[in-house]
Amino acid sequence: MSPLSKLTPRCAGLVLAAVLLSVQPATAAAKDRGPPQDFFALLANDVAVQVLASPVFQARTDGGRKVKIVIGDVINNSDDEGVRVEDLFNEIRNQIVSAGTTRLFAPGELNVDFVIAPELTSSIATDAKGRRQRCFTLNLTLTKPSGEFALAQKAKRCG
Amino acid sequence: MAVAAASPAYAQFGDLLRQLPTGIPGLPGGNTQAPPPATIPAGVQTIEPRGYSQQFQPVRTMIVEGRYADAMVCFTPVQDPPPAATPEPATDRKSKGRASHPAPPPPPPPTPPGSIISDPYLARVELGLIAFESGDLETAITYLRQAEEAQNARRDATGMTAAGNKIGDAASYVFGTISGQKGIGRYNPLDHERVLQLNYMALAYLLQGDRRSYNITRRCIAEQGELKTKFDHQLTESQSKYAQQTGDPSKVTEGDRQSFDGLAGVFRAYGAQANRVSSAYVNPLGDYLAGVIQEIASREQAALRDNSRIAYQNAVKLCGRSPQLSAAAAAMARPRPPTNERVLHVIAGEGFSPQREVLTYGLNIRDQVVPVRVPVFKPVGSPVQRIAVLGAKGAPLANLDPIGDFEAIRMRDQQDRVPLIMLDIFASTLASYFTGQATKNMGVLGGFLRQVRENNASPDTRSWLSLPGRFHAARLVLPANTRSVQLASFDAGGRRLNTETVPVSPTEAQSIIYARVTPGAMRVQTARRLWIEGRLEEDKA
Repeated sequence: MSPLSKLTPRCAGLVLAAVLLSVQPATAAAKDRGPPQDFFALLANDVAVQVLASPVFQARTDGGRKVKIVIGDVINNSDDEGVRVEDLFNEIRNQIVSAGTTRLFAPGELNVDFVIAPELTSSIATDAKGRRQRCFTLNLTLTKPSGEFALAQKAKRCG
Repeated sequence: MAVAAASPAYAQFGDLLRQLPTGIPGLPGGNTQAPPPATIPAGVQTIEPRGYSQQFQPVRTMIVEGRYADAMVCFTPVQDPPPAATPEPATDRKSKGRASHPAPPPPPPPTPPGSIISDPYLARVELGLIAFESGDLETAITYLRQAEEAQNARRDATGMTAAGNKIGDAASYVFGTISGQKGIGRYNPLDHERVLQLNYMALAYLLQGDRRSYNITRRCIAEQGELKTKFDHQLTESQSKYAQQTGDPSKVTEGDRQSFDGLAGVFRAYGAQANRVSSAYVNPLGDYLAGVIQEIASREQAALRDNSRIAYQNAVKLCGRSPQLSAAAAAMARPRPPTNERVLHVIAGEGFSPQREVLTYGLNIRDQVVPVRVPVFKPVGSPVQRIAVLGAKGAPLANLDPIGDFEAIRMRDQQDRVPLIMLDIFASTLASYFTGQATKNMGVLGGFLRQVRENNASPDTRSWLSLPGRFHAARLVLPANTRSVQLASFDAGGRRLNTETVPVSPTEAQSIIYARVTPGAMRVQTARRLWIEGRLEEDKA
């Protein structure tokens, strides 16, 4: 009996097992890829909380006055072209407005306290088990209508 | 075995076996080939296209002739249905990149050579690039994205799926090694192919005038860094494993080792091409594209001018020398662009990247010459030496600098991977040797099995073959009132090979031209109005 004749049925078994295990549509796996649905809502919440709690922002709310703001378009400087920047904009807007301490104006309005410029960036991190994780950072930069820098806050989440 | 061979029933069985076909059903017909002679001299015998590289030859002709739809048909039967209508050379401004093609030649009779059975990843990148060259950018993006998602799903798989993938790979490797069918398993893209797949996706978005090209470029740069780290680790491991396996005098004699070294020398014979780059990870194209895209984006975010300068400088570092990119970096060092400056970026893909051919080699092992077939990359020649931008009346405006030498990168990759390749050959040759010894003891059945193996022994010759061999680029500030430029290719003797006149918008601050220069043909696409220029009504619609 040759070693080959012993090996062949094992190989056939291995091939069959592999085929059965690896037959899974790539597209199905691809659909699962990317951050979960509420990922960006949480990211927007994280950074909005920081902005609202910041001394620069709080100073403007003294006496129960609402802070007048404009939020600019989200600049997607991440490595994921699939991020829905409009949804992210809405999340930031909703988080900031729902605090009840702000009045939101349309872009172009100059009689405001701050112009908020959101920017999304990303990086790849490797966890303790060596698995890749994509991390997103949402930066909110606040400037006065004169262009003077007021504040920058950021929040980072990986998933 | 000897007793069985003597019986009349066994003799009849032998006759029956001799009448059976020795091709493996389900494999491409091109894989069945004449076995190498039983005895061959030691050393190099032949190097010729086989398997995928042989099947791709008519597709290459179709690409050169601009018969993109025919070329795509060659891949589609084994794929999902094409995501969009069959592409033809682009002329429609609204749905595609603007294209300036020469008048198409009279349509030859469509005779696609039948489907090329190929790996889903490989088929998708080939389809993506052919669609890109045809100007059908949407289809190109769809295919390139599908290819990327398939790779990512595999890389990011966990649990049972990851285990299944690993078992599948191992089983394919074992089955391929024993049967000689090395191309039977899933195609593992070469590292620079994965990077180029992203480069092309970024280019496709750029030609659509879409800002998403920036996101893809960032992903591309990150991916390249990650692949390089992985490769360095893998190479160190293989070098020590190969030295360990071939260093044991009880297993491998001095003669065997010399023969293996001779074979390794064949892979190193393309030093002239390979040594044009210092490593297979020298891909200035990614940094160059990052520079271009950030320069464009800096029109809306001025801070990106500095990022663009750094990206151009990184590209120059990788190129060694590029007057075009050095000038681009210097231009980005200025805080803002001069008023009314119009910049034209020209990117040209030239020729075809090297293809894997089959080397038949007589390998000395245990004082016997064992015929082995191994894949080896060989450059695909291109007559083009230089590409230049000329004014409308022929005055020279700029020479394009070669910035991405993928011929050199592919040859370098092969040269750097010699320890890995030799390890694989070592395993395959031993399998072949022991299979031969085993089948010799199995009489007629053994002879039949040996014949099946030899006839179907086929090294893996797959690689992304529609890729250009080299990229050239130029960034030029257009003289005032320029409405068109000429793009011309020249051979080594300075003779002009092809010329195309390309219109440029007099109102757009940044314009992009992409050209594919193949032997005897040049096809040009210009980008749609870029996002920084504001959207037109037709775009909004």
